[in-house]
Amino acid sequence: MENKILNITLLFSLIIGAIIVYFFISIIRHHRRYVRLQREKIFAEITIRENERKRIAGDLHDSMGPLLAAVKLNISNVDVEQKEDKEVLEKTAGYLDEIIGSMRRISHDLLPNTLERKGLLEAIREFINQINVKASLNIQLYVVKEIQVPKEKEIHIFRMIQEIVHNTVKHAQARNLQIGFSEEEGYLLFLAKDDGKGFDKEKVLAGSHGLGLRSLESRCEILNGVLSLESKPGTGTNYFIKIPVG
Amino acid sequence: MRTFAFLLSQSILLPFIIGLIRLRRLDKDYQPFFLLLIIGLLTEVASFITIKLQGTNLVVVNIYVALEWIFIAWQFRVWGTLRQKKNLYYVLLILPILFWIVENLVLGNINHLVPYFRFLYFLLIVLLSINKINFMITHESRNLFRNPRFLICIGFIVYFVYMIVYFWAYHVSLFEKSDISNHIIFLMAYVNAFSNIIYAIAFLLIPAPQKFTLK
Repeated sequence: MENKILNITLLFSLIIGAIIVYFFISIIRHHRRYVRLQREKIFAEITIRENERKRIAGDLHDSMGPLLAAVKLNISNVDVEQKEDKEVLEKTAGYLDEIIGSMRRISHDLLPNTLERKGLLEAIREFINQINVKASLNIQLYVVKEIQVPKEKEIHIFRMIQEIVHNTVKHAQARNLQIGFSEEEGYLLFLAKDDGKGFDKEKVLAGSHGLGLRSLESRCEILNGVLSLESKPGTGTNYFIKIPVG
Repeated sequence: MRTFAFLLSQSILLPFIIGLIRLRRLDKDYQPFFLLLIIGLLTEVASFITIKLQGTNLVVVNIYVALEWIFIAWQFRVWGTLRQKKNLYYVLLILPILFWIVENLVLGNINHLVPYFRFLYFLLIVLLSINKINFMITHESRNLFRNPRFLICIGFIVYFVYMIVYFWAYHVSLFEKSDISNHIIFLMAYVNAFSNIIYAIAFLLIPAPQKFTLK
């Protein structure tokens, strides 16, 4: 009799144990699937956005640029005798120059040509030089080891650097920003350090101002990379990114 | 007290009546479950008649459990479980039925209360419900407590886990009288009523089927 009770109790315990084990296995499986789907969704959204930027940059550069140049040429070929008419034409040519310049800048900001033609490092050098001229921030670039990055990852890494530099210019009130690159065992290592006012990372991420940081995290995630950020009010900000490129 | 116990045993009428009232608005995603409620109600009536005539309703109950497994497995299939793996679904559906045939017809236990098929299909229903709930937790963005599938799966888990415990207690009580077993067996009507209330709430929350028309 005791054996029968023991057998039925063992069977009952096995069943309850199987339910508990299955519960944990099932929730872990579904969570992994969910994370994979989220990552694919983010990747699709970012890729669509980049393709759209590329298309618009291309349209501006290839369609509108030549048209505006042609308009300027036609205007400069118009013969006028009156002094006032010549002044109007000169002003118009000046406006056209401004429009062409702005359009080139917009097109370049959307997708720098240098990235396509000369690669990531040259595009970063060009971008840093532009910021050094325009903003009151001194950016120093150190390349410890020449980096070889797959073409499809270049745009994402460039955008991450753009985001970090823009954050530093807009918010950090820093005078110096040091950016370093290296490669080690198939990983691209990137370090950025500024001497600005720093910030409370948890507070920023919780509020609506954390969109840039979230965008950084998203790009890092789709590259299967790791982003570490260290910042406290009064101590400057350090970014460390490690991305597989091998 | 007897009246209260009788009322508790008729709690299946609650989801049945709500389902009947909303029959036209009932999405086909929930039809197997509603059919199961109808079969449950017919089983209650048949049990009442057979107890009056023969003193036992074991044959009716043993047939009902097989049907219960078929309809619940069908309901999960309609909800998308194992939709991509047809063969696995049919194996999962048919194996317990073969087990039932061997246990009740081949071994001649249809007049007895044997636990093994019950343990098997209780376990399978709980696992299917856990799988569905975990899927909804990770994929649904809306309030899960207003999702009828979530509520029905919760009802299944509560009821069938209790039934596993119940049958353990019942078989222990056959060999040894104990207060714990008696208390567990006593809770049956309350757990049954609680599950039926959850099913009734689920039926109230079932949305009307979407009509693809601009009228």
